[in-house]
Amino acid sequence: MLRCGRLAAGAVAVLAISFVVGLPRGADVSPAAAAVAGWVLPTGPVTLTEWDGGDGTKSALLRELIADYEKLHPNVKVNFETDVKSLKVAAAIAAGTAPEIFEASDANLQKYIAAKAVEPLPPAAWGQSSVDGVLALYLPHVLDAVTAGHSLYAVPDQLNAHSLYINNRMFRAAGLDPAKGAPKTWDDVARLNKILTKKQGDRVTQKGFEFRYICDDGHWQAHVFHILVYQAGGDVIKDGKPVFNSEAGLKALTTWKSLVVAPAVTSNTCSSPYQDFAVEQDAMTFAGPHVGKIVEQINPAMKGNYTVVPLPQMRPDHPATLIYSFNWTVNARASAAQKRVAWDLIHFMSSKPEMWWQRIQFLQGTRGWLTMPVARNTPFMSAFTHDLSVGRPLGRTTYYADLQTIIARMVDRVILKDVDPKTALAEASDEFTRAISK
Amino acid sequence: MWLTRAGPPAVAGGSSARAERIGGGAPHRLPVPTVPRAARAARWLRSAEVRHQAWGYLFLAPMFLLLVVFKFIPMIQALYLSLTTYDLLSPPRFVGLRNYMTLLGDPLFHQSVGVTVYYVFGTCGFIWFLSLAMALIFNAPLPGKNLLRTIYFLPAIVPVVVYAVIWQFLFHPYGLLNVALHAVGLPAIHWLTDTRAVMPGFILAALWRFVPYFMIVYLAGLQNIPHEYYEAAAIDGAAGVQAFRYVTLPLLRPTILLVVVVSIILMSKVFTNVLIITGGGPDGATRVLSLFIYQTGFQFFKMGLASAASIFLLLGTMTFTLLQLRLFRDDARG
Repeated sequence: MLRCGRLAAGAVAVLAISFVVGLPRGADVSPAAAAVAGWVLPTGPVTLTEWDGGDGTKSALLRELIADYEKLHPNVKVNFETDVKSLKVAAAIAAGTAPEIFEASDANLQKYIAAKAVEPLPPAAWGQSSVDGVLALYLPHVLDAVTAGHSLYAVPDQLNAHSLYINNRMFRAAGLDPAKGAPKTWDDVARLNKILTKKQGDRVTQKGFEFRYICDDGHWQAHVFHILVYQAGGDVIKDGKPVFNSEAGLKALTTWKSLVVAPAVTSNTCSSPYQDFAVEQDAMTFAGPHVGKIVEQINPAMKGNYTVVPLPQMRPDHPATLIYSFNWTVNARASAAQKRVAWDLIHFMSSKPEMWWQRIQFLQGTRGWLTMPVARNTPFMSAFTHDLSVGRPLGRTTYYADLQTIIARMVDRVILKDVDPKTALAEASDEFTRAISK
Repeated sequence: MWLTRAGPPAVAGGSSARAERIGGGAPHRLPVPTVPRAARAARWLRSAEVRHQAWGYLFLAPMFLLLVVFKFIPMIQALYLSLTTYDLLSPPRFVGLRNYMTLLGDPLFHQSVGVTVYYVFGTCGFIWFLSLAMALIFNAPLPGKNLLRTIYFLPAIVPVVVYAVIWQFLFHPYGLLNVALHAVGLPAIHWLTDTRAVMPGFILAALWRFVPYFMIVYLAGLQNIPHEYYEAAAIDGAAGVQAFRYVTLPLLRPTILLVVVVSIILMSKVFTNVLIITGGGPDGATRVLSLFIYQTGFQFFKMGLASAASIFLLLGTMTFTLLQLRLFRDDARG
């Protein structure tokens, strides 16, 4: 734990120093300042539509920011729609009716970039003369997933790396200290599972830790598999081809198997994936920074009843994890004037990290944010930033939807049908090779 | 007037036939003044019969338009897309029969077809017999019959999402099903995570919902059988099983055909409850064909492949339906 804590503190310090010493110009550029730097906005009336895939909490904040922007730019009218699924976005792109701004996960974005459906980000909108200038405003590598060639196609409204949430009460009830007794490796988690899992007869009434097996698209299984493969020193996809049928893949699946308690005993659903932790069935879970608020909403008794530490590792000396994001993108078919205003609005909305954190605990991965008082005073921020600093993006492929369901089936075979991990890896690799050739 | 004048062939022919019937012989044709073709057509169009038909078509038009726009055009579109590769984001590219060949060699598609066949026949086999049995019970004089019928019919009218959520709770490791198994000394079943148990679970859930529905169909058929037939059979000494064998079953044949055809079509289109409860898992054990089509098209954006799979589903359902119609027709003749 101490080692991990030192790592986290070190990461924060390095990032903070790099911010103070090498802050690029225009890090917190207002639209007005951006205009000074050469980003000229149209003066005539401009109407935009923005589609967001998020929930009610997020949309309330977005509506507020849009209203503020409209006040600053009376010639701009923004129609906002929330809870828009990616399928609707794809269908709208196909029909030529996609809005000027839409949210895309980093996984979906690869398809949009390949189809030239999204517009590259103009650095001038961020007051920068090059893409490198914009990249320098963010933590290292957090924009890797939204970059192709030397173009940047989006910036995140939500950037996540999973950390480990611990239920203080359940830990203490088992004679453990949530901070000092926090697991640093998956072996530690497996050991704690034996202490924290409780049964009444055959019935599991409490679990230590369990991965999630929900969502028909395999979202969670794919995330966990990426995390474990990265931690084992491997890769999932390389140059669009599957490379997970490897020693690292094998280590990932065997580690996963060692952590299984009772997958069927769960109240988690795709729309409420943190239910088991929130209702204190599970003593630990993995989740991003925004989940604390969700857990407290489900069960107010959880307020002050959890600790967040960096995600357990396979090799603590080589920490690794997954970062994933949901991003603002601009429709390549929008008019020139709409594109200008769209990017300016995105810059405006993304330049208020303190607001995003205080209101809904969303991180966007900007460097400047870490030195703000609100960040310094945020509990567990060192854990979140540590995990962000060692994160790598999802396997880059335009067939990510195929990949995640194939991974989910592979995990099903290993975990539920007890198929040999080597066989399951080989089958999954063949399946993905077939999928990308269809 | 039409009886004595040469009008448009179809109408004139029909009128002549009526004239023959009325007069009992060949119609006497009077000399007819020559009427210009346009005038005859205009008169024909003004005729009561044509006006009557026109009203019929007018009333049919909205539904016909809906069918064309939302059924036939999409079907033709699906047929076209099945010959292309199309990811929604780029224009479709013609690839001929490649999608069909890909599906024929795809183990996941084979698995989906197998799962669908398992589900359809696993469910329908029970539905045909259980719903008939229930209909026979509810057709008999029972105290509180109407109330019992209503209660028994309730699962059929529960919205499909509610039905899925109810069964999600029932399938929980500590849900009612396992409590019941435990009560009779049987081991608990992992309904949703055991690949061998999950499909029987779905079949059980489908029976809960569809047996009452088809029971009502059978019940309507049973109540259409005139009581006199049973009385006549009784006079001939046929009662009980014999009456069922020689009176009920033959007269119920059209209803049986309806139940068989509709149940197979309904079951082969199963989708929502599977999507909600398992999403096709574990390990594809419940990924029925309609879910395979949905995932291929709307999750993986492979519209061409999904369209080809939907054409296979259409052909499969159509083949079974035609086969059943044929079998029942032959049976009726025999």
